[in-house]
Amino acid sequence: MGRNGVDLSCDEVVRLVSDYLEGVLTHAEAARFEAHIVMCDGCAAYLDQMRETIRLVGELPETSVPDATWNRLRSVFRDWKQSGPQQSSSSTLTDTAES
Amino acid sequence: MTAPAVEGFAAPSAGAKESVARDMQVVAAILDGDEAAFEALVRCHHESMVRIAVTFVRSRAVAEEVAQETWIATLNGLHKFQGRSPLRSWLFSILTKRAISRAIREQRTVPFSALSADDDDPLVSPDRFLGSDHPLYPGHWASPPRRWDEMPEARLLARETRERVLAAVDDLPPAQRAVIMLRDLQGLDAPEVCELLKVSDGNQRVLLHRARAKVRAALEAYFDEEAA
Repeated sequence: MGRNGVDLSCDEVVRLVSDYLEGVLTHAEAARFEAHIVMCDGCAAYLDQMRETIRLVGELPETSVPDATWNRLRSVFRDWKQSGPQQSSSSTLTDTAES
Repeated sequence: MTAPAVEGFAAPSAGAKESVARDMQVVAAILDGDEAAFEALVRCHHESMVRIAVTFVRSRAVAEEVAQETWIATLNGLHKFQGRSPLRSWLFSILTKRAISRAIREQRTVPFSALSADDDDPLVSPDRFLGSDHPLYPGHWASPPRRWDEMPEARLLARETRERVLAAVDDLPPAQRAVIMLRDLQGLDAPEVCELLKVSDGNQRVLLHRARAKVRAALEAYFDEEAA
């Protein structure tokens, strides 16, 4: 590959891919990264695979909540609804004080 | 999803304002006694909470308890929620505080930073690149990845693909798993995750990078094995 900004090797691009996606590369670094991607099918595929991976992780299904948990949480919810916040419950206040 | 993560939550963007409004609606509905709104919130976050809590307490049963306590604490503190940070960050901050204090009680105090220094395996096998002594293309692909968008779309949508993703996430070292779940599944931003897990920005990024790269590698292996 020619110089013209395309001076990263593919193994360097692979190392930089998260920094690129996170937007933490400088403008100059991002330009070098993109110049490489335009020229290199392998790295373009790698970048697409990384984006697809992020998308797939983001779409993992909501998994089922165990029945015992549902039963407990529903009864907690109903008690809470009847009596309002349980101020006596241990360390609840410190947990939520800063919002 | 890939927007620069440099902005904190001090200056909400237009999108952030919308999600604050949505959070406030959910909170108002729950405070109003709407059980369905509470159940929807639980369904959205409970499993992630358990998976993240287990990073600290090291037993699924204890993690399940920590997650349940978090919901109770959430209900009891909900009237104080003002939308200054997103509801999900608020939930996960209650969760991590509880998980850490439970870990301390159980004398299982493994500092999270210790969990992060857990591996330095190459993320892409070095033999997929040409050697640094290659005359023309040192460090370039010897065996480049295939394009996934040339596969039938159904492959990416298949239930088995999702199962592979989940298995790959579960196989990650705990700190990497917590970071990828908070960032890519729960949608928290980088500053939020650093604050929750008490890791530096650089460390968070390394954990995320390793986690994503390993999940990608697991998917590539799966797709290639199917194609073979």
